[in-house]
Amino acid sequence: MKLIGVFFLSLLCVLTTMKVWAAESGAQKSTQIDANGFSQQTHDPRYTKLPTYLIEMKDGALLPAELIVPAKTKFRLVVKNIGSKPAEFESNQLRQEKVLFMGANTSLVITPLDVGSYDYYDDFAPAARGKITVKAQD
Amino acid sequence: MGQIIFVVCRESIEALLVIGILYAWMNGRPGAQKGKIWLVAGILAGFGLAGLLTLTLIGVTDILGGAARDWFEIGMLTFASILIVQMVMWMRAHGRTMKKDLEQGLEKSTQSSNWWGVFFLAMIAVGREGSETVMFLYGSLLQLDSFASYVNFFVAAAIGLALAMILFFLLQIGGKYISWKWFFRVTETMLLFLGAALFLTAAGKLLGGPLAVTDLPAWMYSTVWDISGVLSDSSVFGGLLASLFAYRSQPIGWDLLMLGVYWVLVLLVLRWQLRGRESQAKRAASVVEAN
Repeated sequence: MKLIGVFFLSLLCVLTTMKVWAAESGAQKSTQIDANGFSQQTHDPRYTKLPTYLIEMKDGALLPAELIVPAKTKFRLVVKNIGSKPAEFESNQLRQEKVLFMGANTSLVITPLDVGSYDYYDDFAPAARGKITVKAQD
Repeated sequence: MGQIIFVVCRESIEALLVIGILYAWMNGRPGAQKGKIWLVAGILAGFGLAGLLTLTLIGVTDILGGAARDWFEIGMLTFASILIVQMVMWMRAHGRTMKKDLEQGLEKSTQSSNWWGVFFLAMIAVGREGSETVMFLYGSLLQLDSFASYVNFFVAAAIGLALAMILFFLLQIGGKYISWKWFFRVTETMLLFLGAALFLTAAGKLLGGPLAVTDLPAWMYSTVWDISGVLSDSSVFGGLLASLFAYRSQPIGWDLLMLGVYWVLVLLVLRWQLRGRESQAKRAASVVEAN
């Protein structure tokens, strides 16, 4: 019995480290651009149905400051506040406003967008401007 | 420090503008004195609401889960816009007779109960904007370490609030130079536009929240026009126009549909009220003639 317990405990340890490692690998961040010129999608196990992008907010900085997404496609934004102060993700053009305490994250569904450019910013530090550029798919 | 001043000023000016419109709309009308007490009560209740909402925002309590929070906000905003229309109608119907009734001591409790509208609107305005301010201030407060930084913090918050108050009083003074008849019209129209803005925000939350899983017809999602080059609603002025007058620089079909629904309903209801009054007046006149 003890052996089984140790086995599961070590399995749990391995899995958690793997999960942490997976989460930290930069390949899933939307700051990168993929081969087709769109922002890299992130893989969040909670959300698998829609293409998902990650925006991180860090004390007024927006990572990435430009997100490139395909037109006429519903997608999901995972917004994380990784800074040391509260942040408010806001975009009138996308009809979104979400306040995020330190360490909080949220997910937003964005309805299909037409080709164009849509602003987003931290309402508590609006000096930095981010934009979602919507490009037609080939 | 600059950031604290900015956030406090900007968040409180939106709530103060709503209160300002309500205040100006009541001012000079019969029964306004009573209404102002309700307004102040609503502001105080708003602080309570702001505190409660902040608790859910920072995760102290989770009485409102994600979906429930969406519905709560949608409900609150829709309720507020309905209240506005109801208040305008009520003032149109009773504004004239109210003064006489008051003087003759004929005021009924049912009439004063209509100030609930003022109460709830002030509460919702302060509660919504206030919760964001409270959370921001609380988060910033946690970062402070020295006595000097605490002093800095409270001075900045006070300056932000003072700036918002100054803007508020400037607007109130501006209102004094317009003739009353005009002023009633203007504030009434502003209230109806505020109702439209609240309704549109609720509709946006509905689309992004509970309706996100359903696929609506494509025209509802497509941008109808894009004048963000002229006045973007991300700018300070554009944002203010958005939250007070339902301005959108890149509206989609859904936005225009919802605005259309709001204005058609409002105009129909107001027209119906006017007709009702006319026919009533006619009936009264014919009764007088018959006698």
